[in-house]
Amino acid sequence: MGVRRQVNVACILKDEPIEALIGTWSLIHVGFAMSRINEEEAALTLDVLRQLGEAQVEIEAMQASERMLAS
Amino acid sequence: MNYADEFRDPVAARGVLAAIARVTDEIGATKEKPVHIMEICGGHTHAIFRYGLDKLTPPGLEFIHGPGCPVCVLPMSRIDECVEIAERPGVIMTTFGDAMRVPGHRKSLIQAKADGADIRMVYSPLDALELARRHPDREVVFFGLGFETTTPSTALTILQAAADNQTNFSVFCNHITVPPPIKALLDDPHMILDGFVGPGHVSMVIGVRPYDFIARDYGKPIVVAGFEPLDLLQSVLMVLEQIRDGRAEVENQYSRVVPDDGNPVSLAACAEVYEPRPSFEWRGLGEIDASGVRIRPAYAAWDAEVKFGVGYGKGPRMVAEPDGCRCGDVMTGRIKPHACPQFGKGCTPEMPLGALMVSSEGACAAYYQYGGLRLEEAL
Repeated sequence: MGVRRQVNVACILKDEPIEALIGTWSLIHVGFAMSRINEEEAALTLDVLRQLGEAQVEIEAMQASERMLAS
Repeated sequence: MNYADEFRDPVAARGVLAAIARVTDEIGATKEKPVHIMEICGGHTHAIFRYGLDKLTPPGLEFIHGPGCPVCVLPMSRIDECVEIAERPGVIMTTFGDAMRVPGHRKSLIQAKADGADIRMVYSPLDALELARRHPDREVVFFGLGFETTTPSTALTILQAAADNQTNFSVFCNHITVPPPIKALLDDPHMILDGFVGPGHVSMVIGVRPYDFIARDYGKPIVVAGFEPLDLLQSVLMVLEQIRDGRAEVENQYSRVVPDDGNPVSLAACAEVYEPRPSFEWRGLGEIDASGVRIRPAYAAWDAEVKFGVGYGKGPRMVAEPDGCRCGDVMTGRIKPHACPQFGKGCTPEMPLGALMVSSEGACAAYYQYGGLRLEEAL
């Protein structure tokens, strides 16, 4: 599955051995790792999105219930 | 968790779409008097059409497709100059695939290749440098093209070539920057934009501060966005909420990838290798001050403009586009792609007349590929 390829990690390496990158996610562009995915920020963004989704499910349930009672 | 599928969840999308409809309504925007949001980046244009987001959002919200497709804004004269270098004896020209079919005045790179020039597609500038190592008797040139997302990769490759003293490698530099054309659009007296969806991958390099002027000086909201459908929808919602609340701020929806200050290693490599050009020509927008970079004299040995005596300001500049091509009007949001008389007739992805039909990030190619009913109407 997928593609194996050598990439340059100079842009995402901080003061740390290269092994520190193992197990982390990175955005790769034209052979260069350009940004390490910030997993905490990803979780925060997903939380907001889930709340919007859940709120909508609740609103739709309330509307359906109102329609049922009105009929 | 792979940081992509989670951002395509249909349940969450329903929630965001409902919120978008609600806020659009609260603003009072209608089909007749819509709110205009520009997605600057061609990657966003592609995603909007690929996922049909323009059909899911309310009629009171109109997307204007911005100039953020590097292949699309490249002027024909630069293709001509690239072909000129590629046709020199002993040269191997290397390029990203999407530049191959961009029309020049004389020919495209793919036509030049058919005519015998040695032009090869590469995935990375590092592959071009590797080609130079393997062919010490040839001159390998990389057609450096793209916004701040791609600019650092070319800079790091030049630094690598310099460190290795690989002197048969050079770069034909066409790298450009996002903020100046945004300023040019905002200064246009016919400007109708109410807010921006900001480019995600450009911003992972430059950070979000270079957009401060949009909010501060022009009073327009901008939200830096990711590329999955939920990223885009959430960003649009954030722009709409700013408009509704009378705020103009720079916000970052794509914080999992974009640090506020960008990437310091990338920025340092760019500062080392490049300097701003006084101006650069953009297809459809004309010359824009300080909107492109060139290679500094310290790295002239790797600058194809110096090496081959070809380059910006050397030859006559022909700004004219092919007859009937209205790429410029599409790019500035004056017309939609299917309103161009050549759309789908004289200009298709297979035989493009204008650059917006070439790249998958171009607005015309996106309309052509995903246009559905509107496409049938146009044809």
